[in-house]
Amino acid sequence: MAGEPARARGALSLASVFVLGLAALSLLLWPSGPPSLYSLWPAALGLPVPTCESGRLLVLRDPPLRGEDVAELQTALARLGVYEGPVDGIFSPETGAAVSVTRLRHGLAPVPRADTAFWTAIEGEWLAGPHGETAIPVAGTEAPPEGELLIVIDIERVRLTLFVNGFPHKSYPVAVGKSSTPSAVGQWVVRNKGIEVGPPFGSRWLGLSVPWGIYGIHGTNNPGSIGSAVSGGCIRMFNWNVEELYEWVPVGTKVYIVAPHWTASVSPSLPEGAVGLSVVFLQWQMLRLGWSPGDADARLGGATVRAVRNLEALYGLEVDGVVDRDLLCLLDLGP
Amino acid sequence: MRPAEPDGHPRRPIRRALLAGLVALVLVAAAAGTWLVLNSGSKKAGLDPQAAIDPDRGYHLVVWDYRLPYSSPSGAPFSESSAEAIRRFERRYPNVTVDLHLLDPSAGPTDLAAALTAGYPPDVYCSPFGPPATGSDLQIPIGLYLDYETWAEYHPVAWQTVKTGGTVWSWPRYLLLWPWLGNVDLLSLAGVDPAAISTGGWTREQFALAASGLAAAGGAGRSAFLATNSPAVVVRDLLFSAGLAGDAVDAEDSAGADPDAAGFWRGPKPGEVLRWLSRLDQAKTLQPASPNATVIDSFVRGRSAVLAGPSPWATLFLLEPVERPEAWQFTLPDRDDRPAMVLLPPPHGSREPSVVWVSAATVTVFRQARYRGDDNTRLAVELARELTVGTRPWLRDQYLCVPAAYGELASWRVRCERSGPVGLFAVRAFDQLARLPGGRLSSVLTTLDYGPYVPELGPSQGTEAGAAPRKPSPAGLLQPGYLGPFLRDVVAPSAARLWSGEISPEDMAAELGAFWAPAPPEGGD
Repeated sequence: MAGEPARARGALSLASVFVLGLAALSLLLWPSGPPSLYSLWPAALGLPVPTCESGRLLVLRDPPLRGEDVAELQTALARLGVYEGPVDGIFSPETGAAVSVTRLRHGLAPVPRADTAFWTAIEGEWLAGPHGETAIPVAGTEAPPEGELLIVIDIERVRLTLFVNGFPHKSYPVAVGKSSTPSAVGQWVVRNKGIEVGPPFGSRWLGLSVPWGIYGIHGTNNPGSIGSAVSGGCIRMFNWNVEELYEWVPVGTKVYIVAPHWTASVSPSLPEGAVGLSVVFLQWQMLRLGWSPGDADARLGGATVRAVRNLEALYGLEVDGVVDRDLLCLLDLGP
Repeated sequence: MRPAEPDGHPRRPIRRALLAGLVALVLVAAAAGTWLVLNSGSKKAGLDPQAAIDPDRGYHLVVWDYRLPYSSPSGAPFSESSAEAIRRFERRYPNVTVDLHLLDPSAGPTDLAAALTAGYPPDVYCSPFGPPATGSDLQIPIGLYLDYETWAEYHPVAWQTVKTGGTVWSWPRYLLLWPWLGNVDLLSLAGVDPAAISTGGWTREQFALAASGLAAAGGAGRSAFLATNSPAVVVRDLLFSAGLAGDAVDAEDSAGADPDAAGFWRGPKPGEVLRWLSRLDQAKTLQPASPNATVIDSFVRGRSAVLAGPSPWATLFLLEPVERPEAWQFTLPDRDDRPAMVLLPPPHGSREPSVVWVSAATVTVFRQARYRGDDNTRLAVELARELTVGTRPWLRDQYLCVPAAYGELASWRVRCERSGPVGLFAVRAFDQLARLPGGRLSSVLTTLDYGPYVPELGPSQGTEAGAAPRKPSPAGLLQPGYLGPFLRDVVAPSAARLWSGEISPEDMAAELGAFWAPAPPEGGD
């Protein structure tokens, strides 16, 4: 009989170890705290998780952390005037010292750790600093515009402009994709909206209909990056800007991402159903020349194939709907 | 007292009710039949150009036009030219409403064929692909509605391009000139002066010499001297000048489908031209036939000296004399590495004129299976004429698109003459056609493009002189592109086999000639 309590104690201790292990694992995975419930839903549903922002906790380690996000941090620290070292993407002791100094200025523990508290703190400093802003603006004070809305993001001017009935209504600075992970040029629509999706995405999320990944317009916990080409392809905005836009823009709003000096090569053997940037380039050129391929939405589907067939018929080619070299020549996309 | 029925209920009231119902049914059926007769069957399908327009009747017309990727200087799409004409027409006839329906160039002919099969084509059908050879007696011959003043508003060449079988079947909207394209550097390397050819033309002998000259000058690495995506177009263009020469085809302005078309196809000219073409093929001067050949790309990369086949719009695009909007979304690859190009007429025989093929963008009128009256048809004809006016602003830089009406032709000529070589070439090519005897031009166009497939006049469709049909054409026969039914169905398959060496020129000439052989007598042992 004495063995039963002993077995029970053993089971209890095993359960305790399991729970503690889970807690430790969760701390390891989410050192800055568990993510919000909203950010978990794509994974829970088996959907791809937004990949445009890393959201990594940046701390001083040995060997040091390396990456684009560290370079972003260094750029922000340099803009705040606390870092004069190289922007090399290496979380060096100098970088850590600059983070510590910045945290101290904001009443945080002076540790080399760029966490959510750190990014939230420097947002205010950033807005009061180099951009000439004097205070953090409050979103939602302006009446929502009435009419047909269109968002145009010029990734070379790093600006997002909201058009109402074809006229510019308001323009915002943004951060866009870096050269290795460019923003998705094309004609999209706002597919979904979310609040507090996760720390790297700031306070609001406007998901775009890009077919090859999860891209969106969102806020940021790194306001120092606004005005640069640093993101993983998403469009970053100041949180207070995206909060205003979020209120105005419904799901289904058109979003054009343009780049006047952008160019792409178009494969001469694009099959029907192809998806990608080269399809966007083809569609945009067909739009420019009046061939009505539908939106430049990166999908070589019904409207675009129909436009290809129309071009072939009018230009005296075999009407087969195939994007071949002759067709590219007759769209100025050939040699 | 009336006896009760076996089941205890009186039967007569039921009978009376049934009888009353039957009478009512008969009356309703009679009324419906009368209405149907009055509203459809009673109107005999005829053609009365003087039919009075009833100001108290509301008319409704349907126009089909094509969605073309061209715009006016203010950026209005091409379809706005039709919308504008319709607005003018509706102001003139306030009791007429018009619906404009836009077609895709790739699907429009099929849509029309389906509508014809159902018996309900549009009242007015605009097409960039030439007069539709529908073979349907729903098609209205425009010629019956023309008075001298109206006839004189359009250039004679324009009328010739819409005349088939001696009958004018459509309104001419604008004409399309079909020159070939040449690579200036390669032609110079071949020992010919591209500018001189462009201006004065070249004979088939000069063409062959140039081809061998390019090969001798180190052009063996080139894929071909002449490239095309449509051998039928080459055959057509070569036979065009051959047909126009001397008495190759008799000018039959008024005798229906010209009786010497058969004589032409069974005569020496096609064989002569096809043998010449075959010799070029044997000398590896022609681009090899291949289903996946991308000849335009090859030409633009400088791998062939002469290109035949793309439509005038494609040719103009390759030359790019047309201003286009800025691409603010992206940057295009520049054209600097493309070869210098020149417009060329096809080669011609030594005693043949140097001419460029011409086709017409047309406006055609149909009636419907349920006839809506001669007044309705007359209004449709009037609307069709209105649609031919005012197209020029939308095609302002399309120099190979020649307005059909004199009013716009003058401004086209001035703009062409000021524009440079492309415009000057277009003016010369058009003037060359204008010098041809009108009847001969019409006959040759019909002979080459439509062959025996002339539209058939129904028994109720007037008695215009010489409008008797030749062969009955199959219902719904429509060309999907610019090739007329004879070129598409008969010449193109043969030309493709000649081009690939499967058949000899003699075989092809025999095939084409045999098509024109008189049908064997029917019946009897």
